[in-house]
Amino acid sequence: MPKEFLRDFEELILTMVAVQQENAYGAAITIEMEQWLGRKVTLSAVHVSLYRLEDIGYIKSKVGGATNERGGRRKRIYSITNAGLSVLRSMKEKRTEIWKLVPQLKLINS
Amino acid sequence: MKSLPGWSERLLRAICPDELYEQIEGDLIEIYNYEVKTVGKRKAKLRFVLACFRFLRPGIFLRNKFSLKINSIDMVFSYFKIAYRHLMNSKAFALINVTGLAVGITAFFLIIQYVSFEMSYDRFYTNSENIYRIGLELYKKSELQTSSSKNFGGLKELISENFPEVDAVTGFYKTPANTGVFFRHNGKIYNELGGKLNTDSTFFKVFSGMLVKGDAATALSERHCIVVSESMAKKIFGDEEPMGQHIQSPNDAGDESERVITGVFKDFPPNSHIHANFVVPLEPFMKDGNEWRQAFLHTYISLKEGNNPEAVSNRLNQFYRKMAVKYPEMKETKSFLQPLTSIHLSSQMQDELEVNGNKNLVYIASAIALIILIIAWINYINLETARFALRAREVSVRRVIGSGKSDLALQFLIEYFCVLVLAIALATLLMAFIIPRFSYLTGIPIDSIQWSQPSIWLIAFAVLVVGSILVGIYPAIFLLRLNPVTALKGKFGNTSGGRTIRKSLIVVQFSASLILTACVLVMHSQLDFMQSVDKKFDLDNVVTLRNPTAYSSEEVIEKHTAYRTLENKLMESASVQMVSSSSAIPGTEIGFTYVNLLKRNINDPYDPTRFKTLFADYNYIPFYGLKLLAGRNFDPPRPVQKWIDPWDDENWLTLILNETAIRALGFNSPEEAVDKIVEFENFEDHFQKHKIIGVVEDYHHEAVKKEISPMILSPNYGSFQQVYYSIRINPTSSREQAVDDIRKSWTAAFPDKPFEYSFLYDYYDQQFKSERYTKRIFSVFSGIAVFIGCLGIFGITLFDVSARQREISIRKVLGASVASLIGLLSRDNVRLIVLSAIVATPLIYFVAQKWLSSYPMRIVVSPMFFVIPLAILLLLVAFVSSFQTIKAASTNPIDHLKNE
Repeated sequence: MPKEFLRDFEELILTMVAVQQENAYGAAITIEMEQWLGRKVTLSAVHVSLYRLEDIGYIKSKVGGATNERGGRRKRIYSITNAGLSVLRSMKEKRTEIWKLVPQLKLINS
Repeated sequence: MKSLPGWSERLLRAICPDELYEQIEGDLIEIYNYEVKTVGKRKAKLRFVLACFRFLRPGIFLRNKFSLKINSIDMVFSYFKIAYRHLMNSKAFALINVTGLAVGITAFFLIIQYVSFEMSYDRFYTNSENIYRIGLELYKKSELQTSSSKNFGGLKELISENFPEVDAVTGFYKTPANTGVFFRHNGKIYNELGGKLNTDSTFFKVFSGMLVKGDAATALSERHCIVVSESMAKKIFGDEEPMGQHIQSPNDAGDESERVITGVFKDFPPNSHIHANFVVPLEPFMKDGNEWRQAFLHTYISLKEGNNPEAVSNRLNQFYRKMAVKYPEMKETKSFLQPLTSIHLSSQMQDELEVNGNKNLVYIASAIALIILIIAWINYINLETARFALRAREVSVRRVIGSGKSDLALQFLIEYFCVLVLAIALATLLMAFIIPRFSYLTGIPIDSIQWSQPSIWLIAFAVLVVGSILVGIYPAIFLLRLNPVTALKGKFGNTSGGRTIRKSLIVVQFSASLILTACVLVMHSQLDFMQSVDKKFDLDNVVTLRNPTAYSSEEVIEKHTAYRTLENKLMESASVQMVSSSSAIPGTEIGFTYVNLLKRNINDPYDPTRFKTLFADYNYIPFYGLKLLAGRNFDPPRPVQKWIDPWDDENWLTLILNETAIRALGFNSPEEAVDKIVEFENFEDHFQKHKIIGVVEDYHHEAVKKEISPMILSPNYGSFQQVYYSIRINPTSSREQAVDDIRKSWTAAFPDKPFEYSFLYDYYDQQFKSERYTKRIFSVFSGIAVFIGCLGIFGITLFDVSARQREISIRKVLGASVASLIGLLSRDNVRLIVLSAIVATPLIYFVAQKWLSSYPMRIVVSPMFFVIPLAILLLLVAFVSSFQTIKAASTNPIDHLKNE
């Protein structure tokens, strides 16, 4: 079980970090999430969540390369830790288990 | 975009932790560039701004490490400790600083209290901003003759018919506050002062929010209606419901008529220029919509939102021009709109409802408040900078260790803050003590702090805060200019620059003290002069009574009988020498003031000179010792058996004029005027031939402060216009005895009327009330200014003397006498005072001239006004500094030299 409670937004970001691998940094995650979710995502909210996840120890960061479209500023590249990965996995499993308990017929009736 | 705009960079740097800043900046730029491509430049920019501000969240700025701040909090505690030690080290200086600031702050806030009261007039109506009074200007050959606060009786109707932009218009006629209103309720007789307004039902529409009970539209619709103030309702009816109660008051027909209370209004607060306890409907004769001859109604309008008052008055004057064809009186008149809120401070016209305030006085008071505060601040700066020699080492060590300029500034600010907090605590105590006595000092009827004008208080606090910060930082800036290395080597001392600044600040203090003292002196002399000026009449030992039936409608014969009884009774008593009756007594304004009242020929053109008519008996001239320059007094009255109208008796068609009046009529000498026949309008539109039988010397009837107006004395035989009785008491009999005799006579004549009397001397003296208050305020506050200044000088001398103690000792060893040493030590101060005198003299002259120019009778600005304040200041400074100089000069030099 996770020792720290994760909100769904943070869980989503944790997943994104895992998905994006070498390209996981603030702006990229924000843009990617906007495309996935189809709604506006606030950059500062993403940053705050990333910092918190790093504090808990689910992700770690290093300072990476600079590109032209960021005005020469370096990126902070995040990568998921083993702890993060296991939390993500256990949460996903828990959810699937619970999902299985939902009576499928009821859905059709209503 | 390659980098962030300046503001956002500053914002983000301020809120983001340093180690995260670069990545946040990069992400923002990247997203912006991405969005420019996807959603367009304008939208991207907007989103960028929003995104920047979104970083203002606890999740971001709480990530900043606080270690640095904790460190500086420790330092702040240390600063407090140092400040405490610093204060304790030099208790004398601390005391001087705290006292000076406390007194300064107290004075500042007291004056602000006065200023805010004066500026808060007439702002309590719900629509104060839209109310205007329509004033009337009278021109003669296109030159402004007089402006009056009353306007024509027909104006109301003209406006309500032709001006859709005017929400409501009202006009009222005010019976002065000192004229009693007679009525009866439940068999009790009342004679209530406080003023009565005759007005129409729109009154409570213009002055909205005043009516507490009753309906504004109908409260004054019937003749028998009366609306009373809350306090009056309480007085008459106690806890009973006042609405619908009946009172009986005398009417024109001679008997009593019922009036019904149809409304209750809020008491007018002290900061209102209108005061009244009763509001009744207009009398029928006041309602004439075609009344364009006499201006007798105070007319107020409330404009609908968004209308320009200029436009209204322009249009109004076009009407006036058109109507002047029909009414020649209107030919050279103009109307203008006065904002209600500006009346108290800016309007000084004829027939003002009350004595208005003075804008200049308010400005001057604010200036004094600021000056006192500045003097107190200067004290602090001077004392602090003077002692720098002692602190230079401390500051140098701090700087060498690595304290930054802002740290030092903070340290000095905290020291100042400690002094300020102590001073404010002391000031609060002082205020608590003074506020209850405040109304005596300023004449303002308040006994607790009023926050009625938040904007003024805001400015006052802003001044205090900004000034305090500047004053607190100044010593730090001063010290930072020192080179720490040389200062540590011991080569410091008073830099010449610092001394110059200090000296110029002292000159400012001295000049301010000189100017304030001189102002007090000028006021005092002018007041003395006005009180002692030859008023050309005799007002000692005179008791005056008001005829309670003067304007009531009792039978004239009865009124006459009552007067005869009173006079006979009075003359029987030994303490009374003489009795006279008249329509006004010296010190009261003469009510019968009209233009176009007196002509040499019935066909003479309209003349805007305002003549004042005083109705007096044949005793009046000898009673007041007026000098007849030519001609004779009125004839003695013959016994009245039955009432005859004055104009039907030839004896009554006589006039006595004063010098100004005959000049206004164009006579060259009093002799020339005597026995001439003139046309006198003894009632409206009715000119009748009158004979000038005498000319009296001009005398100051209304007030010494005012110009003497053209005056007509007309006989008041019978009971006609006997409003005041003047009684000259025997100077040898005691006042108590005289008053008692008068009371007995009064009871015989008016058994059911309350007895009220006043001594004319005191009554006439009332006109100087505002001058006296001004003088008192000025004396107190200039006293405070001088006191704070002296405190500063005391401190500076204390410091100077101790700093120069060694020099003095050496001089003494070398043979200098005590006297020469005292001279040496005082020389600086004397030089500064002389310099201040040079600065202050032209200012004093200017201020004195300006103030005196408002009085028709005034003193000349004499050299005394410059010399006496200078002498006072010299003496005070000498006194204050003498303690230390004498002590320093007379100590044994060995005591100070052996320590070397």
